Amino acid sequence: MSSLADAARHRDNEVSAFQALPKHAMLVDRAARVHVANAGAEKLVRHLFQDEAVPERWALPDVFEISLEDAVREMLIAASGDAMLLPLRAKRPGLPRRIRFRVGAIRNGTRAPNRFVLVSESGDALGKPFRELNAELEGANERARRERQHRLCLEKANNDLNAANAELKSFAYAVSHDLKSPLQTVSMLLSELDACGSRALDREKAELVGMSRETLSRMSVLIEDLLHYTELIGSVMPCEPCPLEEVLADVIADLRAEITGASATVRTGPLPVVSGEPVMLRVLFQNLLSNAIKFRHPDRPAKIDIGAEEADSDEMVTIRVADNGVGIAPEYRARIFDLFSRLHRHDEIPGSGLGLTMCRRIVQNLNGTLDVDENPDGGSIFILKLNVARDD
Amino acid sequence: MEMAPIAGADKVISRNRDEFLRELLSELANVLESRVGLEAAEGFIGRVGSRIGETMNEEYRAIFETDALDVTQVAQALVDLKERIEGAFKVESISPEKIVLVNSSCPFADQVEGRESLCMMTTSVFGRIAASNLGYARVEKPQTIARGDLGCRVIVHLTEGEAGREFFG
Repeated sequence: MSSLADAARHRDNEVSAFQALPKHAMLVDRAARVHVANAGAEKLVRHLFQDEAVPERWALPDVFEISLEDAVREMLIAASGDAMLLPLRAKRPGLPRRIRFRVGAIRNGTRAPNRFVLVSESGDALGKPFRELNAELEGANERARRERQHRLCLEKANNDLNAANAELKSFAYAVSHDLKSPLQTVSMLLSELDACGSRALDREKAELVGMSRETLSRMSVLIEDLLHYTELIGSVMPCEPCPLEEVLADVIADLRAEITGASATVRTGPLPVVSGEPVMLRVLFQNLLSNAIKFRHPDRPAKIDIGAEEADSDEMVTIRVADNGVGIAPEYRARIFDLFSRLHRHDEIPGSGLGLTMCRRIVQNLNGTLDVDENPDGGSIFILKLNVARDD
Repeated sequence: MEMAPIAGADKVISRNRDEFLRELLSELANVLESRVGLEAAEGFIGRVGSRIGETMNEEYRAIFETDALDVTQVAQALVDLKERIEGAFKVESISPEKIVLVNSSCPFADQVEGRESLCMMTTSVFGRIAASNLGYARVEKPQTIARGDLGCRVIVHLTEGEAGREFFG
């Protein structure tokens, strides 16, 4: 009697626990009929049926959007350890669209289960990872879209820049080229005037003619330099190994008259073979040496030292052109490479103001850099970084 | 517009349709395992295997002209279906309690290495066919190529126990 009472009490406890589960729980047979539904499942069904009368006995297809055959099949499969996802028969506010159930097989001494216990799982176990995956994919797509836009913007900017460069080059070339012709005509007329009528001109007028010829001469130099400079804009230099010692030897030979005239001393140390274009490198060093002579200090003989350092890890070599000239005040160093930048009057030191601009352009075209610094011994040091020629 | 074949592509790419599909499955399994964990990934693949197992079960029932295969016919069916997809299994032993099958190659070839969830395909197909015909099956895999073993050893238990995954008919 006592054992029967214990068994009954034990069963009552199990039923109470089943009823109190904070989930939807059902005991379902192999015909998908629900034999026991706990309080959570009962509440769900009442909510779903609303005004309709809840059938006294109901099966899974009465509550969920699934056929009888599929319900049994799904329970059998899910009893292996999977969950089954059952969509509710109708939409109701406050009710989920689908409910995921864990399924356990109940066998009373039989190999095949005769009943199943279905207990709802809270939340969608796979929802979060898939939402994260989707968010990652969307993020990747967004990044790709931004990169594509950025690339298109860069391409457009590059095309615009190339077009502007080409236009500028064409314009500058046309202007400087077309200016040459009237300039030559005026120069010729002045020569005629000088030859034919200089004796008839008084001293003041003759001086004016002379000044005009000098101005025309400077203008001619300016236009020539401008033409050279426009040729450098946007041009790609075919590079080849250039031994700088040979380049400097040629430049010094070309400038021999100027060097001798200024009593200047030019010393060169060991110089590397760089990657460059021989003619352009010659123009570059000719300008730098010519400037060093032109801007020599009035109180001391000009000395120009050209030396190189060891190449760095990027295969760039630093070449220093040091002079003991008048030097460049720190506030002017930033703009001496600008177009038509001049620190002296024409009557002091002649020039077009394009020499250093051309120098920097040449170095840039060779993927190098050109800067200026103060020489601690007085004067300036022009610092070039050029690519070392590779052996291959 | 007809496009000319890419010169030299065959030297770099050897993937055919079969290899592509294996690679696709392997990558799907990889994404699943890394995103939802091995257990949930096995659940997914197990579900696919169950469906395929049901279809194949109907085919073998039709071939043997029976409503339910016996143990020997189940073993024959499991060997036959693997033979057809180059995953040659051999029956090592057969008894009313269990069918033991072994192999030395996998239908997914080298794409299965490190993708344990793909083994659930075999587990589910074997388990579903065995349980549908014999009422109950429990599939245990003590050795798998996916885990780095030289071959797979699959035991389809026909009696209840602890190890393996249960299937109900």
